[in-house]
Amino acid sequence: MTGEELVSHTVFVWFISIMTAGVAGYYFFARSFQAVKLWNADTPELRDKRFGCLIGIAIGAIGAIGVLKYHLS
Amino acid sequence: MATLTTTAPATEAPAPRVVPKINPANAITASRFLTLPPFVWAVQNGYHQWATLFVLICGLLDKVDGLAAKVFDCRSTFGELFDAITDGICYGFCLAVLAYYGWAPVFPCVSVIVLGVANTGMRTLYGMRLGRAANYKSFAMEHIVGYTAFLLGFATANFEVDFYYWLYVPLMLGVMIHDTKRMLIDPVPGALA
Repeated sequence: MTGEELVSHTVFVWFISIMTAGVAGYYFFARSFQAVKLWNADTPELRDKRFGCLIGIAIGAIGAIGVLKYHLS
Repeated sequence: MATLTTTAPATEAPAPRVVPKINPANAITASRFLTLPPFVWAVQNGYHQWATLFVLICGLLDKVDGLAAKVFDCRSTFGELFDAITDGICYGFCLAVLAYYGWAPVFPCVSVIVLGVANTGMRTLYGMRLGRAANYKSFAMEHIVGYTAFLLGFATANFEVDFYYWLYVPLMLGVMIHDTKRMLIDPVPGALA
């Protein structure tokens, strides 16, 4: 750790990993539940919301896979 | 409670509430620009952790301004537009800096900036269709903006940069196509004649 760094590299990497995995996990599960609820949406606003949920699920999955990829490679 | 409603004059419509443009929420939104010069300094000098910290502060302020608008009851259309424009400028600028200094792949960064500018254009056209200034609310785009903030952090932390950047582009393109249809083709609810 030098003066140019705030924390050690290990702490930094785990901070990024935990934050990403936390947000990605939240997106994935919360939006999955929401998408199931909105599955039979019949108004444009609700269909927008359902599409947003699907994007949230995709982002959650990408976030989690990226963290796994970093630590497993 | 019933007497309160009956004593009010029946013919007078309640005056629309005017929210001053200078309010705590907009001040917090504007303060996000202050993170840009130190961000450039950190990237220029190769300080990855400092650059991540400034991205984090910028992202957190984005969350805090919405909270401040609720707490101080100063939500307004101007505030929403200002917030969206600030997102675009801050994130677009940071992406350009990261691409320039080779911390992030150029093609995805340029694509994100171009799509962001195009989205702003669509929103302007949507406002024109609506006949008044309005911020098109897109749940999908809110997610994409959140992803963009993380993209900056991934580049400053050198954390699976190519993976996250290249997957972002098709996702944003999909959201853009969906939102373009909603803003420019589908009927606009409550449009002025």
